Amino acid sequence: MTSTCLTFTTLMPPLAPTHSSFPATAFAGRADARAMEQDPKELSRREDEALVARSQAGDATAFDTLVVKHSPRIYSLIYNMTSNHEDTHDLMQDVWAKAYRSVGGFRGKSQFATWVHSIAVNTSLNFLKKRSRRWTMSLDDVDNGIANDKEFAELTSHLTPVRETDLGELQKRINEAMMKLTPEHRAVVTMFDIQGMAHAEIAKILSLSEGTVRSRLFYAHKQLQAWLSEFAPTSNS
Amino acid sequence: MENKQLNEQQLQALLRLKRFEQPPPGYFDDLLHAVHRRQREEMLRRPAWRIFLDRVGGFLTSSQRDWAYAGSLAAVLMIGIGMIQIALPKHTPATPSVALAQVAQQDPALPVAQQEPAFNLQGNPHFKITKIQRNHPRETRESLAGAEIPVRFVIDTQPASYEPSRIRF
Repeated sequence: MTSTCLTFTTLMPPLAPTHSSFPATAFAGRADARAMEQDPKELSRREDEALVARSQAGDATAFDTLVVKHSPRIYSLIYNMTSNHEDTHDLMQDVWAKAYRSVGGFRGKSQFATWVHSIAVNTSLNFLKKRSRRWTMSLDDVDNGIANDKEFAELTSHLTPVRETDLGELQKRINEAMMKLTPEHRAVVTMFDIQGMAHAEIAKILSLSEGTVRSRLFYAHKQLQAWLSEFAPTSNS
Repeated sequence: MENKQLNEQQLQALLRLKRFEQPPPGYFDDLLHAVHRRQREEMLRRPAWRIFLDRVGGFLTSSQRDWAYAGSLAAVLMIGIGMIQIALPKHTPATPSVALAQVAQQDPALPVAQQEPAFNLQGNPHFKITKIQRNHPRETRESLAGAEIPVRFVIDTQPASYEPSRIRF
């Protein structure tokens, strides 16, 4: 597909205007503006705004760019909610089909990423409520990059049970523990612990208060700690 | 040996493993194809009236920026309505007496040479005049006075096709 080969620079108009023609006094917060322009999150948000505007004007390529850009995080969210690759693939299509249908009505009150995440969470929660009991895990392979992850390497060096457990078995046990959580708690754990989102962002996506998010997270962590206690460090009494 | 529970940091470090569960390579390229296929399928499943409404809505939305579109659209509409009004003949009921009066007025204006000679069968040798014998008694108003006769209505107008056309080419 040609659209996947296109880079953002070729698709996008220049998003950061240069103020070289402005007099020095014309722009008081110039340093702040530069810092904002260099902030990758801010840049990404402005890219999304431009792409959404073009999608709303009927530019299908702009929507494709949004799909390519946000799919990895949406995939991660749905996959960790379902622990099944095939279900995730189907739900991904559902999510982007819904987003495509509704992008015309997107008014930009929240970020596009937040909006798509909320579609993904709601779609996943609805799916999990309907899913049949005859369900099996279908896990993706663990990427080789885990060998370079400092925090995981540090954990495995300190925790003897983890070090001694096969990586595939460890993956299976963690996924089993995750699937014991209710879908609502799993969603919070996925977004906070796996995707690294802030409480406020999760609250926006789930349309909850930050307090509720913290409460759910605390409860879910307690449960996971109990279910994964076999990997806790052992001490001789 | 005593088993402890994982603390927060240890749990979070353990959950980091899930960040490294990745779909097979090239998955996201295939996903875009699947999304396109899904979009096409959904487009085909939509009812025709919905597609029409979307098209009209899209056209109107896009034309809002350009007033020339609105002006040209209004002009086309006005011309169309005018053409329809011209093409459709006005339905004016004309009584036979009026129509006959019009013919009577037109006839004297024609030159005598152009007027058709009066049609007379008696001057034609191919026709033989015979007298039709009436065997049944003639029905008169008096004879039918007691009988029930269905009421008949005669529309006192001319068919539209007899009226002269207003369109000239």
